[in-house]
Amino acid sequence: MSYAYLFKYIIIGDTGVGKSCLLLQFTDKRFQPVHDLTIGVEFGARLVAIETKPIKLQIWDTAGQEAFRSITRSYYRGAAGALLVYDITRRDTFNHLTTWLEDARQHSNSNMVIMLIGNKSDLEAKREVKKEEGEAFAREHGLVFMETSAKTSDNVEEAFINTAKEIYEKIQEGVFDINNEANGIKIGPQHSTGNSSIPGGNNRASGNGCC
Amino acid sequence: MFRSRKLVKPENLHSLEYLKYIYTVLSKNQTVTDNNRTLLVESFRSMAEILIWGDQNNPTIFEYFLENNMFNYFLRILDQKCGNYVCVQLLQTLNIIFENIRNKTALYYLLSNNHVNSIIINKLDFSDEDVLAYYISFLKTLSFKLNLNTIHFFYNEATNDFPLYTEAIKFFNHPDSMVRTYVRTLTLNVYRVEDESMLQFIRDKTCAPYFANLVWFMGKHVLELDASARAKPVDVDTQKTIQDQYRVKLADLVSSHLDDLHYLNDILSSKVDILNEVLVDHLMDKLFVPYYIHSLAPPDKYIIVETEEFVDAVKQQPLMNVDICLFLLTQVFLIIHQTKLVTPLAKFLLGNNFSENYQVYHGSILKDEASALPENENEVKNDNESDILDLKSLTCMNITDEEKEILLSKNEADSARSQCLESIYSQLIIEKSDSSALFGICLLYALSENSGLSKEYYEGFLTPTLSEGCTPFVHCDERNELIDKLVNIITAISEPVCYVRSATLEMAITLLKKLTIYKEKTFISDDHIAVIYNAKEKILPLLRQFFKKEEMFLELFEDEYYEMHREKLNVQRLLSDSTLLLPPAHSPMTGIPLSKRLPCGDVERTRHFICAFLMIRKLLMTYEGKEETQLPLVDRTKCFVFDTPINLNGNDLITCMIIAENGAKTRRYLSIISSQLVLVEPHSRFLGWGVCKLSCYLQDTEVTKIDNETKTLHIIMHNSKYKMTNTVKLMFDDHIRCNAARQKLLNGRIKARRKQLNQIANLLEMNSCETNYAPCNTTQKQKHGLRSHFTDIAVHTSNVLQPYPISMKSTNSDEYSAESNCSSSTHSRDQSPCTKNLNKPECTNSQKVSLVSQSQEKIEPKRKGRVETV
Repeated sequence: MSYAYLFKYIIIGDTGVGKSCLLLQFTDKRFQPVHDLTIGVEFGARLVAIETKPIKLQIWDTAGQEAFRSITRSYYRGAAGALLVYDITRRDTFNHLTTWLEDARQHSNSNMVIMLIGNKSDLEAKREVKKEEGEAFAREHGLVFMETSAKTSDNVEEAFINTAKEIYEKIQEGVFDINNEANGIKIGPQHSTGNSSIPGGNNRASGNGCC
Repeated sequence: MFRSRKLVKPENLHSLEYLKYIYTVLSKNQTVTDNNRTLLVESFRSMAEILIWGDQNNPTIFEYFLENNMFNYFLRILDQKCGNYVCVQLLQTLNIIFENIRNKTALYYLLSNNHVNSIIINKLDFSDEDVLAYYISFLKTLSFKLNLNTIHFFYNEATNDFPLYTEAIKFFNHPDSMVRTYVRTLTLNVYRVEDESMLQFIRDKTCAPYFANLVWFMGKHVLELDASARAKPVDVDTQKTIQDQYRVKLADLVSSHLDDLHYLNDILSSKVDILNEVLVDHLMDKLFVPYYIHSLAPPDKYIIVETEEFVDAVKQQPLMNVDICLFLLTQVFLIIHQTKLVTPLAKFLLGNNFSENYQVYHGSILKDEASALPENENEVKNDNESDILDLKSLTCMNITDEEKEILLSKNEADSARSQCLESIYSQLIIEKSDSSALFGICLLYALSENSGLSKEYYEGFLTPTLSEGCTPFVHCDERNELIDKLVNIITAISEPVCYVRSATLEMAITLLKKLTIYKEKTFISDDHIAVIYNAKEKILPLLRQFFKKEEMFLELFEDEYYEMHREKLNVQRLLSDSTLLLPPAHSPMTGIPLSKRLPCGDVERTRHFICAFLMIRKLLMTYEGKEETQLPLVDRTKCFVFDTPINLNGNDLITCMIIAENGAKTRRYLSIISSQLVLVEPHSRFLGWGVCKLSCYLQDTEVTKIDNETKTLHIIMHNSKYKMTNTVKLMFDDHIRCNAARQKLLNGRIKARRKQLNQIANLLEMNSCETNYAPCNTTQKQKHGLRSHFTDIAVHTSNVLQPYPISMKSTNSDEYSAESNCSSSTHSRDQSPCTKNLNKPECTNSQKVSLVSQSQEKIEPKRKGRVETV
């Protein structure tokens, strides 16, 4: 599978905000929006195109590591992008953002792109955090902001891709040291012209040399 | 595509029918071919969704899945080496199932039959990064399901087999950091399960290789780190690109060392003794002693002899640079707080002379210890309790000075351990670079702060006293020597040539306080205080020069003051900065903050010495038990807050409009009260009162006039404490009022600044003729115009102000008008009694009440003062 760059993401935020659902929705977007199904996953990869360049996104969910300090540290250090997620129907998850952000800034490399995500935008009736508040928080801390719904897949694609775009821009500007894999960016193997596909996708071109 | 071999795909994905359909597909496609690959992937993908939907909504679905042993297909297909495309989807489906399943019975069923273990040991194509990532993710997901009930599905006691763990740790040193992190998570999850036989298995079968490898790689990284830190003793400021690469590499290595230490701490915190013993042994024998301790104190003839290779290793490997060794050791003590590890290590470092002394005199008591190997080995495994006992009995021992000397001289000969302390001490002498001193101080500080280390080991040495009933013993000398060294560092910073960084000074002061202050009592000799005092005296003339030369001195002074109080020194954060390992930088272009490098140019030198002065001054005040009375120059917490009611009777008020960015206008009244610019709106209930809407100290404002707008002023308000800036556009009724306002603000600013410069001059113990040269930091024109009468104002203000320190504490307008508007003082003074009465019902919160009560105290002396002034 060929790609120009591989970006590693992490997803952070309180439990229950829908991190793993967002991830599954993005990596396997064919999951149908059904009200009686909550489903998520802790790792996923997918190929996207940024400015016609194939870019592979690897997303590592960090759920369940809270008990181990060493683990949290390592996650942050190894990622080029982070999605910081809160639940718009739960005020407390919004209130905890500062702590998450402090942690992220302390442990990550300074170039890590952080995107703020207000998830569950489909539950408008239960909303506790206004969109404006999310926007204000993002502005104050220099983050990109977006409201998404993992259920209806609204804006999910955009959230991941916009983050990738920003990382890509930083690479173009020379801010990221792409030779240092510790930053969560990897240069792809020689680009072959062959059509690559997404893992778990069904549009797979037949040939894959290495098995 | 989905219509394969006359199969009809049901419409509804979330149904039993669909699962039956998948079952048929799978049973008809048991061999993977290029043609059915896509179909299979699609089936596995849908299967995850249906099963989880079933788990949440319809139990019959799972029953069907289990009855038909559909799990077998997973294995059968995996066994065919079917290619990574199918493999990845299979793993992802497994991930989804194990991640989301809530039904315990179903989970147990899936885990039984050893299916999962067969998948784990399946040799997949791990050269494909996707396969590996999904595989590791699968293992990690499983590890979160581990508990006393499920452990036997993974660990087979009969066959002594635990594939989940043994397969995972094969990837512990994988180049991909996320893979490594997932492996570490898994191991920690495993150690948390309190299953004795499983833990015994880990200890017997995997502990040695895994921990040995872990420690070996740590040692390798440490040597790499050492190599890259000293590879190029280049000037940090030059050769930027090469330098950058070095810095990046160094930063990485330091970070991974920190990661490793945190990981070790996490393992040790899991309190699995049988594992921790092995780990501690490995760490001590293979890393801490040979790399760290022996770098500090090169070993004598008999070093630890375990195996032949090990001796070779020690001889071949170059010892580390002492600086780096101290840096890394400090990290160890900052991060790891587990008694089992820090105690033996601390014993090496602190040169616990006691037990050896004790042996000389009372060898019989500690025979078992003495009869073991004469060196480190037994020390490591020693139970610390016995040592604490030694210490206690020893410190209570009645011993004369002569005897003590004999003991000390005996020790010099035989202990490699006290060499460590010796070595640390020699690092504390600053010659050209202060790096080693900084690390040495940090290490001692970290030791004294480590919660896993019993206080007995350093009591009387890193603390002022021993606990009750004991008199300071040998440690007393060591402590005095240490205080000498620290005081010398403080002296070194007072040299006009800067070679000690502020961070070093701050650490030295922090440690010194630890050594000398206990429960608000100080334990320091007058001689030492005199030396510190001299250091301060030496900085003063330097600062006086800067005071005269540097126009921005006031701003720099204030900024340094707030910088000092902004956040407490965080040693752990300081010590994770890899740039400290490079020779101290000079240039700000390195991106290193001033406190961690040497100053460049006069402005930075000014800041550097202001900072040093403030810190030393504060230290001396602590020793003298004095309260701070002179700083901050302006207490900005006393600034009028939004919505405070203010009595404006008798004050000059200028009507103006605030023009917002969108052009909206709001009417406000501008006044100057207590050296503050205040914009108010009329109070709704009290005539002559206003409510504060915006306020700022005059010295923090900048007023600019726009050329073609005669009626407007731009006012920039700086908040020096929070480093924020706020710009306001004000429009006045006409140009006369506008100019009047401008003049008032400018003059007020000059006055306020002058007052503060005088305060600084007092701090710097300058006499009044020296202050004449103090610059006024305004526009050129004003500076010249004002210099001529600066002298008498200086005298005037110092006469007036000194006996009556300005109080900003009150919200009462009475005393504000005293300063801002002398002519109306009589009027406003008459108001003061009723002001108090008026104020009280106003106060809704307790804060205001206290303010008022404070103001009441001030009013009396204030009035007297005013009479004299007028």
